[in-house]
Amino acid sequence: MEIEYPYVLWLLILTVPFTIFFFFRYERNKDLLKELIGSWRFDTFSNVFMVKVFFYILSGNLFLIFLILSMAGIKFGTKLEEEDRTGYEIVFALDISKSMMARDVYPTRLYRAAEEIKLFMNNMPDTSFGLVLFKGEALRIIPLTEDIHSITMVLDNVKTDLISAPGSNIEKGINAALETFQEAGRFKLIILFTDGEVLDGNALDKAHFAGTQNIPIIPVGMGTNRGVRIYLDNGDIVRDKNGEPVETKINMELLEEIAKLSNGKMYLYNKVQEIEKDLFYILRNLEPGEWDKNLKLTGNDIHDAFLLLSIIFLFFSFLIRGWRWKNVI
Amino acid sequence: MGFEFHAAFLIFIIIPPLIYFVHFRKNRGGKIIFSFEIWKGKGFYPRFSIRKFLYFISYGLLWICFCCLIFALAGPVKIERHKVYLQKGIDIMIVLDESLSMLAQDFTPKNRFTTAKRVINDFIKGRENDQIGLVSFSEEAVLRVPATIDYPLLLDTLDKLDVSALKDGTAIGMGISLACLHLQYSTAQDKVIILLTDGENNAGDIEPEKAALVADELGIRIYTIGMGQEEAYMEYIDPDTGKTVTGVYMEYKDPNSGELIRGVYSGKFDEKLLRTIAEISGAKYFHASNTGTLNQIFEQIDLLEETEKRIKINVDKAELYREFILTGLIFFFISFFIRKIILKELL
Repeated sequence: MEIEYPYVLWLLILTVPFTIFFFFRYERNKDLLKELIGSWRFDTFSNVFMVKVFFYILSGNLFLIFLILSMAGIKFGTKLEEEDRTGYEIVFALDISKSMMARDVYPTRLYRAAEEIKLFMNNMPDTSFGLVLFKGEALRIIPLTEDIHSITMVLDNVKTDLISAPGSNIEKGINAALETFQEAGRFKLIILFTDGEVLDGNALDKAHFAGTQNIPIIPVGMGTNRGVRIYLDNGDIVRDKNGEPVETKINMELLEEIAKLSNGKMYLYNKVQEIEKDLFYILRNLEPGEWDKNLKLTGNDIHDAFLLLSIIFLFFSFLIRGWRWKNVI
Repeated sequence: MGFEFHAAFLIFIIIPPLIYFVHFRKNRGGKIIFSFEIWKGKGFYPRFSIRKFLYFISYGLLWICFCCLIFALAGPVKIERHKVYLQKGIDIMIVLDESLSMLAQDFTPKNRFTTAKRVINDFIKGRENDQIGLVSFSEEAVLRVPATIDYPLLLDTLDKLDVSALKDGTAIGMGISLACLHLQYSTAQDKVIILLTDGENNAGDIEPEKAALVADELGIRIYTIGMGQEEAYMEYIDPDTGKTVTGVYMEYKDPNSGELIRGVYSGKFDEKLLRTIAEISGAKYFHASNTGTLNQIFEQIDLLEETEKRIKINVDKAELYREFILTGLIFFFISFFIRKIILKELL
């Protein structure tokens, strides 16, 4: 089972004040009823009133619960649908923050990322590529084009000071990549080269949004779990405001979460060449196996079942009020 | 907007009897019956009051909530249609001279350069499914935008182009070579360069004829457009020397100093060279003497490079049921608040 908007389920808390309200008001309402109808026939009415209040609360709560479940985008099971997209549009989002100058990946994370991008492009003919660089801000350097030479020229000269805004904002990088895509009817993919060290932004929200747009993100983890210092070109060490050397290491949890939220898959820097083999399955949300290339796997959306149940219970709540019990005059 | 499950609208049939059952049926529940025979007077009929108005509003909202849920169940969708091309278009590189002479004011409304940019802008907007790129050159050549479908970015870059960006000089061969470099791996059915210049080749390491030969080997056609008309040149008196100068007036604002430099451009484009380049690559040469002819030339190139377009229409549907559910939920809670808190309804 998959839930597209899990945060919607927090609204289920509303059933608590809804129920508490009726419990607190029950005795008071009973007293009011007694005043209105007179104590001489109150006993008959009070039983009916108690039963009706109980079923009214029950149907009201069930109405709310099923309504909220229908909004949460619950998908149960999977089905195969026809896939009518052809051709690829791939945008590389390359992190050029200072931590990418770390040397735990030879010679530096940034240099290695640039090389891996160049190699990847050479193995993917008839594909449009785009390039986004990001740090504290993001910049669309090359729009979608089949001219890989123009991307190579930029990658050969890529440096951390191409963008002046300091920081590391993966959210902006993903956003700029999403704005780069052009054509309908093509498979769209973002390959994110980063060490996952985020200082600003909400990358997970943006990753979830990409997933809802059928644009998977493939994070490529540049770095290792060893904390290493960052050396600049002039040999200086990057230090924090207290003068201590900054140590950087890969943030695997974030990158795996980004992949999961966008229906992508995470790879380490030394496994980039495997992406090409897995691309077919990632873009169609399939597991490796024998699938017809014109099919894709989607979840079964069952919101209409929950919605119908909520309408039925709302209908019951009307009936409970309006139905006259035959034992009562 | 459309609906995917029209059968859900059948639920509306039960609303009128339900309204009757809840609000108008004689023996409906929720009523308390009083006997007033003893008094033999009229019954209790409360006059119109704010309470009655709120009662009407609260139940109105509740019924609207019910209707919103039915609409949500009917599967409302926002339909968007996208054109998908089943065949690639052609790749076009526009190679634009941005030397200082392009500031000559013999093209309306301003000068050769702004007119060229405007005409190219219209040309790009008239194309579909073709990857278009931009190279500019004066003493050096620079790739401004690689061949791309991203027309908004291309048009934005074209709009920001300025003749003061590169040094003076005209390196036609370099411009053609750079365009060929970025078209060589193109898999498009046709590859085209459109070269606009108003001068002779006087800079760069690569001769234009050799660049044209390379283009021909790569299967790239080069349309050449020579801008300017010597017959329209006028006589001016040079204020420094007092001598008569024949040419076309031009102005240049230095971006560093802000100084406005005025002068007369006497040069002309090398027609023979442009013809040769076009012939080598199997395309055509054009002469643009004014704005009108430049427009016509681009229209002609547009027709010459017309390609068959096979398209299909993809229909994308964005679900809207959540919006209807949320609206219904809001109405439900407002109704609940009015009935239970303000009107103090017992049940």
